[in-house]
Amino acid sequence: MGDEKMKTWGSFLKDDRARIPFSVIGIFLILGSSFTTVYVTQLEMQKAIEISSTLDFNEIENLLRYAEADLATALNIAGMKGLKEIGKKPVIQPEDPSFSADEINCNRVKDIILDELNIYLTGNYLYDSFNDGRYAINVVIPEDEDYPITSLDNITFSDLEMDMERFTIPLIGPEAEKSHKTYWVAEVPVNIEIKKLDGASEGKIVTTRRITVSSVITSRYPLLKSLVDEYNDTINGIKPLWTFTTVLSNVYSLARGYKHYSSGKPLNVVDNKHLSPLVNGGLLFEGGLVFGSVDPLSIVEFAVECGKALKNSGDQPLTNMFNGMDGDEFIVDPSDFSKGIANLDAGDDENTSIDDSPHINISEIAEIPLYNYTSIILHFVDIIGNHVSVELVDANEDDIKNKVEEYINLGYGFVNIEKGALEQNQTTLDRINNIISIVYTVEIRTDVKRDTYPTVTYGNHTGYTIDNGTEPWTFDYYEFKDAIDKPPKDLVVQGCTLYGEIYDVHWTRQHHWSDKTVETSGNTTWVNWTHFTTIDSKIEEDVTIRVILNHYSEYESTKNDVKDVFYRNDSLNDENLVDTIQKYKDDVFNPNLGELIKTGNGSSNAENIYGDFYDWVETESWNALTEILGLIGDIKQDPSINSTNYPNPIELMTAAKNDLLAKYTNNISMYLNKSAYQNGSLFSSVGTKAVYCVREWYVYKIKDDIENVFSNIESKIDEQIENAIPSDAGFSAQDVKDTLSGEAMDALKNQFAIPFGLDINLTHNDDDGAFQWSETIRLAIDQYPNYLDPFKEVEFEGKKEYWLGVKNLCMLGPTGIPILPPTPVTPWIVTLNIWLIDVHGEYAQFKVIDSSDETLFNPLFGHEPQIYVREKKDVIVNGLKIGSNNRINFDVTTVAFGVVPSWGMMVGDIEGDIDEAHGLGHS
Amino acid sequence: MRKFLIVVLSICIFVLIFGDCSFAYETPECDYGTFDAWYSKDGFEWQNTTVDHAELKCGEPFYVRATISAKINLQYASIEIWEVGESSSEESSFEMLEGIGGFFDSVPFYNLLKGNVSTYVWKMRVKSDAKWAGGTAPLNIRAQFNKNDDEDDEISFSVINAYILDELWEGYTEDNGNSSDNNDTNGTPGFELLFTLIAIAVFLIWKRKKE
Repeated sequence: MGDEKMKTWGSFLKDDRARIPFSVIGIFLILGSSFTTVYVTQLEMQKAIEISSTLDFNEIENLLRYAEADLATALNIAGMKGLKEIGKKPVIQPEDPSFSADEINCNRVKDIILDELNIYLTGNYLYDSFNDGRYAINVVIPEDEDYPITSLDNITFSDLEMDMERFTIPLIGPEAEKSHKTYWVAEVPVNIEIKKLDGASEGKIVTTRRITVSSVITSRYPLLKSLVDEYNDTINGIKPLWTFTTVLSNVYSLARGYKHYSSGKPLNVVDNKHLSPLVNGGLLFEGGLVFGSVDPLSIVEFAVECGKALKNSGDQPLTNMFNGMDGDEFIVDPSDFSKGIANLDAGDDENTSIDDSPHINISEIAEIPLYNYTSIILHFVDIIGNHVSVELVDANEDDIKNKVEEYINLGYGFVNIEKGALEQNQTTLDRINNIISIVYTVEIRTDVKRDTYPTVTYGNHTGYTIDNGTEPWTFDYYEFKDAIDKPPKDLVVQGCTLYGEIYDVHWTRQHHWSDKTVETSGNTTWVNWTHFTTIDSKIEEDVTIRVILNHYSEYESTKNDVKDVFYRNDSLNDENLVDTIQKYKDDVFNPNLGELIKTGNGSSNAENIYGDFYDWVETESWNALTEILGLIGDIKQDPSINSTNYPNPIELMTAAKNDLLAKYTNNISMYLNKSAYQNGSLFSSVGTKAVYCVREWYVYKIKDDIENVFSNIESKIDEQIENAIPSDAGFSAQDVKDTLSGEAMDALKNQFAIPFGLDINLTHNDDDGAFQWSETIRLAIDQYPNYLDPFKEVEFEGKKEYWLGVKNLCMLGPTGIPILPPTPVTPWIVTLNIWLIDVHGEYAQFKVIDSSDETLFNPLFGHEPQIYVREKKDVIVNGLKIGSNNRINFDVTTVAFGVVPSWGMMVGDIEGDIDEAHGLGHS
Repeated sequence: MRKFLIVVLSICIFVLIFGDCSFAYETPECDYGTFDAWYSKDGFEWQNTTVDHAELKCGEPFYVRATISAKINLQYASIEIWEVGESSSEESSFEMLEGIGGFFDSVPFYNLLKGNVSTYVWKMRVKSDAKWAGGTAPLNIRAQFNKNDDEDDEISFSVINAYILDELWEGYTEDNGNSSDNNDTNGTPGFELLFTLIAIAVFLIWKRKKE
């Protein structure tokens, strides 16, 4: 078996039927390695090709990046060109109202971008112009189109906002921090194709792409427009310019009002020619705060015109004016607008101090209950200087106003107004009499006390034992026993007996008796009655009838407080109510005595009895009041309560009231002077008490009157202010009062500065913080005319152009009105006048220049800044009016006050035609 | 005699040519055109502008006349009338009763040929509830001349500085008021002087003949 296996194995090994010759194997090996080599080589080639494709890809991307950057730059330049165009001639009012002005302006820019970019694309991105030697980028022009960008809709804008920080003053300036649309970001999609320029694929389009070219248009046109819109907003309506004008015109009118009152000049408190520098100052001030810059020529002209209008300095050399320039601001002293010009117009040195306190004297209030003015005297002077007086009897405020107007229109000058004839106030005299009568009143009653156990004596009825009853008692007679006199001086008190009488009262009655006898006779019995009537008697002993004092001199909460009352005071010549006892006896006691004696019991006949008093009581009462009036006149209002510290007239009145009331209240005990009327704790006499009660009535009445009068004054002033403000003015009396009491007044009244040359900081805070950057910009302003004046003109070939409309109405007559009107019941405390001031105007041209901007190339000057112009101009595109630009205009309506003490010169505009307004010829 | 007549005739011709002119008066002009305006209360007696103090009552009408001419071919021109300081006709103290428009919104004229002269008259009125009663209200007029989109010029001035009295005009009615005939677009020439001189000349001749 094994051998056969061995055998098989051996033959297997020796079997060479499958023998392949080595050469053949060798050939296959060579072939195989050749194929392998080729394969590997191919792989290597592929790899090499792959590597070279990646390099191409980067090259293409780089080229694309270059193209995009290049196109973005072109887009930016085209955009800047567009914004330059609309900055020069923005459409503010579109011709076709179905489009907004912003849409039209956007489309104009898009139109310019479209043209410029298309030219650029076709000039630089066709015919393989843009290439790196190996690849070219060409723009794709759609079929049937001539240009790659076919429609304005392809171009989109988005806003890029930045946060702005600038210097300002609250309430009278714009917001310090505000977000403004500063730049536009433009985007345009462009279709491009990338072509291979060399190699095997020469001319082959490698790829087409739609790239979005995007760029910030580095022109701050949106910011300039936004700031100009903001400026327009601050100078219209109830905005910073209104606040500024309200504050300054009140500083002006209040000071001039006091000067007018104290010295008679200026004749017109509010003069149109002063409104012009005021408003120009405000416009420059607001512009300076909004833009951080003003037109330097405007400052110069403003200073010169201020000098002319406010200082009457004529065309003074500019060197003086430049004293007001300080670094980067022009300082304005508002006292030039108030004290300075008031003094100059009155012919005084400009630094003369003006007392602007109303010096309210509450004796005006205290006088009302005592005296009536039956007449008022107006003093005038004619052209030659002759004095004329006119007396008005029972005049009201309209009578005063009409008479003054009448004489002014006749050419007279108004000098002042003063009190005329006085008469005692009858109401007060009656009141005094009434008080005295009350104090001289006693309440007296009658008390009867009867005998509790009267003595009853029966009549003799001997033999008659059966009591058959009695008739009622009947009065028999009375016997006077004694009289009671009033107590001694110190013991006359409430409940005491002022007088009395004691009686025994006798009564009788019939008393019936009877007797019975019985007789028997056999069977018959006889009863015999016998009757007898006797007279009983009763004696009530000591029936006392008293005149009792209930109370006396009850006034307000006091009573029974006079010394030695019911005893005549000879030294003071005062009956002291002693006469009332007799009066009571005569009127009440005696007429009722009979009944009282017979049947009276307990209290009855309580009556008020009026005592007599002498004339001295009334005379002394009146004198006491005039004495108090004199003392009240000594109260001086704190002089620091004036229009400088309280320009709001309501606050002024409140402060004055509080001051005066506090001083008055402190003096009340002095005014009452109670100790002078008392002897110990009691009043010296009834008359003395009466005089004191009159004093007391007066003192507390005046205290109440002070409160009421000031409350009336405040509501009257409020009412006048409300009436003066037109319903469509857009502001209320409260707005005015708040402005005068608020920070704006504090900020402006001492001095304010018109800034020029301030930087504005802009910061872009992207939400994810990726693109955050800051810029500092400085703007320049160029405006025409430099100074707006209603009365001067700007020549234009023989024509003139006016820039301002002015209205200044003195609302309460040439003299103002008395608050409160001098009537028998209301005192004249202050005089009020209100001026309604209206100024509107416009700038012919207002240009904002971004002097720190990117370059807008100008072939002549190299650099042309981005500007934004507002002026009247129709904007024409391709010969068609698409809209118009218009001027910056402003409108301010406000009220200004004059508040002066009562009487005297009053406060108003008294020169020339009462129809004030155009101010021509006013000095 | 002849000499005398020649002198008289010369004077007459002189007056005829220049009688209506004020030597100091110039029609406003710019490179592209001329523009002038006149003011009248009745549409007949015209005053040269600017009228510095035009007293008008509330509700009182007045007229404005303007003549515009082109010195070159103009692509565009326009005229606008507005009240200084106001933005729209609603807010203005004036209103336009008759005319081709242009109140706060310019009237466009397209393609004016060189030498074109046009005159327009507007009837205006102070509103009966004029906001600016009691104050001054300037009324301005402006002409814009466009040679093309980018080259333009303007002439702008005040027609009147109105002082509006705070009282209602006696003839005021709520409708547009009487539309009176005021087609006179030219000023009345000063013939008075001419006829006076002719009369003097005739008289002198007659007197001489008599002698």
